[in-house]
Amino acid sequence: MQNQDGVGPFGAKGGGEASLNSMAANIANAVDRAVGVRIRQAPLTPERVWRALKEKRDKG
Amino acid sequence: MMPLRKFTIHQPKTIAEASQMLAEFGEKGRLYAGGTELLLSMKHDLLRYEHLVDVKTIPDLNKIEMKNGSLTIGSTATHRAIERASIVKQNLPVLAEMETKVANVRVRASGTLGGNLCFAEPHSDPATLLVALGAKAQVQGKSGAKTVAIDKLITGAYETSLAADEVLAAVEIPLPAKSQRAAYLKFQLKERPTLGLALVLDVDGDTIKKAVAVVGSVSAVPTQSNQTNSLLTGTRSQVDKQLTDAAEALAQAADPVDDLEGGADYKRHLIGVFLRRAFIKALA
Repeated sequence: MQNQDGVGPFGAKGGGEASLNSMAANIANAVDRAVGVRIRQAPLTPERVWRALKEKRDKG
Repeated sequence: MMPLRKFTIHQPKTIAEASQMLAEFGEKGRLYAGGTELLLSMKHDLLRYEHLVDVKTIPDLNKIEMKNGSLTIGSTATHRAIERASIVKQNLPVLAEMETKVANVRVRASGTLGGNLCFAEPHSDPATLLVALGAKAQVQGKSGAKTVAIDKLITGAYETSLAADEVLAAVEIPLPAKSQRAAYLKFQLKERPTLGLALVLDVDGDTIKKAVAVVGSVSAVPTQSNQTNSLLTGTRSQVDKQLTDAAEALAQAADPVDDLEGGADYKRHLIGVFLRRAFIKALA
């Protein structure tokens, strides 16, 4: 994988932040698995989840 | 951001002096206490005043004391002082608990109860609870002192019934009777609450004899509905069945508006959820 990051002293590079990228998607997936609605916008506020659930219910 | 415009601070030593100054400055002056709302608005150039009358210098205006069965809180008492006062925790725990959740600790450390009520920001936690508790405002002006119910003091978004020369001196809260149960709940994700709901029930055994439910933050002013209050009376199991209707009537009366804290329909939904939760909490 290529990236534009520079290299730190002795070739050091941050590793911890990589896991942040997937976090919003992880939570959205968890919500979908839990209550069956797909939220496509972060943050996943209670109001957005409520709206999605309502829409799903109204559709039948 | 623009720098704060120049203004002059005046520090009266008595309420009468403050009232005199406010009358003299008229539109160009404003009463200043904690400054958590006022100075922020001035910094954003939403409000402009040449003179600020700092009432924090008036001795004993921040006193918290018991007087004739009422808890009397001086208008410059900070939220932090109220939440920490043992006299409040012992006599009116619901108020102390509500105060612990106002904004954040930095705001509570300088923001005052009087400032909160007089700025009349629609998302006020204290206003909603105080209306439910039947609190009164002690007001002093040029023509003398008077007492006004909190729901008559706050007349609209950022609007009060105070005349230019009138100063809120203290808030007087009657202590709930032994038969009364009170609860305050709020829902908040961001800077200000989406909803605040206060419930005071007068209970006799398994029967609720009298109820007052007040919802705030969802629209301009704290609101109650006679229909809701009467639907909340009866035996507990009876009221349990009427909660949905009671919440609907309250939502109807409050007529929620869309704002940054949530859509109107979502707030209507929340009124139902939180009325039920408050009912359970008050009777727990």
